Amino acid sequence: MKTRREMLEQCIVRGWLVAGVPMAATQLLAFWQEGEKKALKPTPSEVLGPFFKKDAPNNSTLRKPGDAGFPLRVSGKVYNTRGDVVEGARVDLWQADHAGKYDVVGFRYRAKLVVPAAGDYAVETIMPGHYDDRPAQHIHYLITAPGHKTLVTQVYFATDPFFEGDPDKNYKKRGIAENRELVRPVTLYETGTPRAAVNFDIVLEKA
Amino acid sequence: MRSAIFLAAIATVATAQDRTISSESDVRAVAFSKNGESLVGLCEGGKLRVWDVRSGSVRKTIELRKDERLSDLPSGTGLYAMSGDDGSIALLDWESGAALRRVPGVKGRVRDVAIGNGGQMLAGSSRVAGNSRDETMRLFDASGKMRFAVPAGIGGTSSAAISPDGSILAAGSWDTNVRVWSARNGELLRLIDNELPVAMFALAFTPDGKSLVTAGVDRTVYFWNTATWKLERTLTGQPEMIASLAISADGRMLAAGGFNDITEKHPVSILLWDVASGKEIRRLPSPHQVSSVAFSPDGKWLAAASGDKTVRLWSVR
Repeated sequence: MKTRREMLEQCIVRGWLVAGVPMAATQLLAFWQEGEKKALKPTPSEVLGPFFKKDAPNNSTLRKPGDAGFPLRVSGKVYNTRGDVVEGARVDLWQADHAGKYDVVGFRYRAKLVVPAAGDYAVETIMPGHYDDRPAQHIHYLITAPGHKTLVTQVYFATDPFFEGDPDKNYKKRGIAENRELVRPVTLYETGTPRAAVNFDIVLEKA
Repeated sequence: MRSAIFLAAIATVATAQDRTISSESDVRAVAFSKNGESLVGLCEGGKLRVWDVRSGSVRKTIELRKDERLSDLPSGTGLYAMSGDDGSIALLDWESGAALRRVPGVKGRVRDVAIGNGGQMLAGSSRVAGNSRDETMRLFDASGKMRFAVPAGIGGTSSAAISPDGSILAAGSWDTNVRVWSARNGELLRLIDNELPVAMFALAFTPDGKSLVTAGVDRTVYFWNTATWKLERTLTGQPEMIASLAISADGRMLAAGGFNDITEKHPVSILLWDVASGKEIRRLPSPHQVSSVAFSPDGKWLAAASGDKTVRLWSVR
């Protein structure tokens, strides 16, 4: 079975794929493949909420030794809708502590991350707590990048008891989460200290 | 003669004691009538209930439309605004029961409304359509015609206010910025951004129009000079986040109340300040977080709603 690339190369060799203007075969191949890249759907937006704070530190270690709450790592990449990694992105994220309280005085469980050129961001945190007004665990996001629309969104957790083991059916319960795809699967690591990990890739629209 | 004065004094004291008014359901917002004799409360179950301030008896109940939400209830005006998911805003009078005006909808639910100039102006903000949390503020004049639509930040409007002379519209956003526009043409007069690290939940102009007062998450009351748009001063000492503030009609007193924890009901303090000196006059206890405070037009009473079945009234003058 040939790969897609090999099939395209064969087309170039046999003359089935020809450039309208003079173009090297490798260039033609790259051009074709770029155009064929599947467009990514922008990450849906969600409410910003009342407790955003400006100027959080660029600190990826939000969990301190001895903090209550289940250790959690959240990471991902920031893409544009063509699937390229976005350069110069800033990811503001903030969440409640294990008891469902936001730090509004300081910057506990708040960060404004400068995303490295490779496009990966990551924070070491804890699973956020529940609170009455929005009783599903969530982390708030505000993402900016030059040339792109600012995105306000949230990530939720498929393991949250709020979804009763069936996020497909229950994600809209009480009008909390608006989009199923923002309820993310959780990977549990049992070796050493038990911890959870969630991948949350972000797709920004061009401004 | 002397005893008559003495009796009159007793009567004054007797009618001016702190008191409570009981409600059948939880009360979320309060306002006084124009003459101060009635008090209206937004009650759980979609009702406005009107009480006699002296006796605490119910004068009338207004059933609100189920497809609309109360979006402004300014004290001492008799007015209230409702907004619908279709973006329309209705201006009504709870004292007379009259429906005064309805401005047409733009796509998107209206989040916050400010009634200005005794109902001559209505400003409302709603979310831009699509995968965005950008907000647009619109101002409508007395004929119901839209005067302008301007960008109002990201995330939603937390509170909006129109200056007493109707010349300025101000709004706080969840993005923590406060925007100030000319109510005439929508020109952005001031973007208050770097000075505010957190969202302002309550905005009000002083009755003389010389200051815009804002307060919110950081428990501080900010006074912004409306001539220079510089920060003039702050009032501190409020132990909780401020959800609501009120200024007496003579501009001499300011009251603020709120909450410190959204996870549970808890006791808080409403602070009463003397505006001129900036000194705290009184600290009024509320058993639950405060969602709304209002002065009577004569400044004698301060009323508070705490999301429970009691409206608390304090004699403050």
